[in-house]
Amino acid sequence: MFGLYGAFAKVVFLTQLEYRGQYIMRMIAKILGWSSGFILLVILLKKVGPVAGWGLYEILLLYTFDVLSYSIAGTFFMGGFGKLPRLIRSGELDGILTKPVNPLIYLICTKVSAGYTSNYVMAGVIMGISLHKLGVSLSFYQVIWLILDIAGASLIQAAGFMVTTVPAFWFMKSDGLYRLFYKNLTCFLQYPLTIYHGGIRFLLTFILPYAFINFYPVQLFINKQEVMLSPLFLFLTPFVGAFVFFIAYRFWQKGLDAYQSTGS
Amino acid sequence: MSYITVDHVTREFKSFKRPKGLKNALTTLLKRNYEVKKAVDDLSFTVDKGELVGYIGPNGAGKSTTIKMLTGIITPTCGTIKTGGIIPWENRKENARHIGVVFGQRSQLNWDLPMEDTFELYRRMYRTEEIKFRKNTEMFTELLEMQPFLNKPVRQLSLGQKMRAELAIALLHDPEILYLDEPTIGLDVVVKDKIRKFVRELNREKKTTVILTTHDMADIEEICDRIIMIDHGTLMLDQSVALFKSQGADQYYAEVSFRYCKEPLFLDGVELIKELPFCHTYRINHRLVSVNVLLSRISELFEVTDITIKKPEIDEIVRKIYTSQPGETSGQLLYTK
Ligand SMILES: Nc1ncnc2c1ncn2[C@@H]1O[C@H](COP(=O)(O)OP(=O)(O)O)[C@@H](O)[C@H]1O
Ligand SMILES: [Mg+2]
Repeated sequence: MFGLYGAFAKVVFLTQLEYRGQYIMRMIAKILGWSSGFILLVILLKKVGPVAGWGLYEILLLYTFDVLSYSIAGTFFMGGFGKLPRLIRSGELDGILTKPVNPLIYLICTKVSAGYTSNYVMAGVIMGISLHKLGVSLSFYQVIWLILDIAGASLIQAAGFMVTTVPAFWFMKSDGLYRLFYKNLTCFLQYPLTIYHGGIRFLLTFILPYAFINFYPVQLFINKQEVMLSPLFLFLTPFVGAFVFFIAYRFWQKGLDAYQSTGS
Repeated sequence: MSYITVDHVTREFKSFKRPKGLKNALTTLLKRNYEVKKAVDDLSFTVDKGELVGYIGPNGAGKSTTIKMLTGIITPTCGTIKTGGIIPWENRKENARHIGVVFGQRSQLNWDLPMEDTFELYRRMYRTEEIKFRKNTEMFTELLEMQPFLNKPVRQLSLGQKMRAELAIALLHDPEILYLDEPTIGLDVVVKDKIRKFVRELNREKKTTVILTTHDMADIEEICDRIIMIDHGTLMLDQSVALFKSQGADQYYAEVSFRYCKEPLFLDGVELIKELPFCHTYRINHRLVSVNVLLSRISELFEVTDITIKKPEIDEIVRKIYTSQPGETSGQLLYTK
């Protein structure tokens, strides 16, 4: 079963690499986009010093968790969900629903994006540097947790994509929701939650649990335990990820049930 | 037992009304007002295995909506559908194994891949056995004459080639039912002809049940045995193609090109409907005028250069049926609005 979806994903992935000029342009755009944000952050932090007790490399670690999980989620979900309204309007979804496949997995595989590879490399390098500068040497179990955290964080990001775009099934458009509840809110993740008002922390922990993408899991590796209800929060990311993704999946299924297709 | 049953099916669509003016736009913020439109309205019919059904009706009649419910893409608002014992939208995956779908107005193909590769992906997706797959690809390649473009990326294919490719991939897994929604739209006569022959051949070989929507009477004439017509989502008629054609057959058109004309043709049952400088088109009622009388009158009045006889198009028969009363067509109509 995985082989089939893998075959579709491979074809789509390789095709993107074939359009080499376009691919390289995208890479460059992505690198410029991220690195300008990154450089700005470094300059700012060098100027003002630690933020609420968080040093440069600790904040960079937050940053890499965010970028890495965003990129993984983007690789699989951006192609399908970023353009969901168009997919609905063009009737492309009709074709998916008449195939003997799981619509979500098929959508993910046939819309997989090769455009995030530069992000992986960049986030990986910065993560390595930060951990090194912080004097953290990861034990075997910590490596396992790191991987689980990134996986959980990616699921949270993916759930964020899905939940804010799936309303297109009812309203045909959803870019407003996506921008407001995903793009804008995840901006808070650049800095430790400690600096924000309690209301925002509550929102990002219990309502839209983006704080589990980086703020809580990162603290495990740098021996912090700030503003968390319980030390358990250090370990919750994989579970929160699985849980919100499940909810997002159910929401997607509800969307499919409400799917009206398009007149022709 | 019928193979496909559509039982009192209704499908409504909600569409939001665009507000006019600022004041109305503001009130829609508070209360959404939408229109409910019945695309399909209490529709029932059954189809047996191996039937070739032409599903017709004017634009917006609800044909595509019906096909989408039959294929499980959308759910009915109420009523039930079963195809081969399955409720399509409840068992989409299971249903997908038994059906092939082609929408003439949109493509399912990966534009970067040549057909050969797409065939292979579809073989895996439907878990088609190797032998069956071989046999089918060979048969389709030959019947649809696809050999010359099998290894070209789809984006380089012409519209006609793409449509043949669509047909082939929809059928590789030997579906029991084939749904074709306007498959010949925009194609030239040669390709249309290939496709028609192919579908007929397929039905003969594999007993595939076919439901086809089209606006082209020749599609119906050459492919289908039975016609189901709907309008405003309700059943208008359901009968054999032979019977259907006989309703329009008492009328035909004669296009007379001439060098010289004494006076226009004037006969009972003949009506001049288009007058060009050297070409008249007449509508002729078969029952009132014999062909003999017609031809002799024409040769008396005209110095003829060419005569073309045209049968009425499907839309015409359709229009004729709409405007006639139930009594007139001797009970062939099941229902008239
Ligand atoms: N997704 C949709 N949303 C809103 N209205 C629709 C939708 N699909 C179809 N309709 C409406 O339903 C009616 C029937 O459409 P359709 O089934 O596509 O007609 P046909 O295929 O016979 O031309 C049309 O009035 C059309 O505007
Ligand atoms: Mg249609």
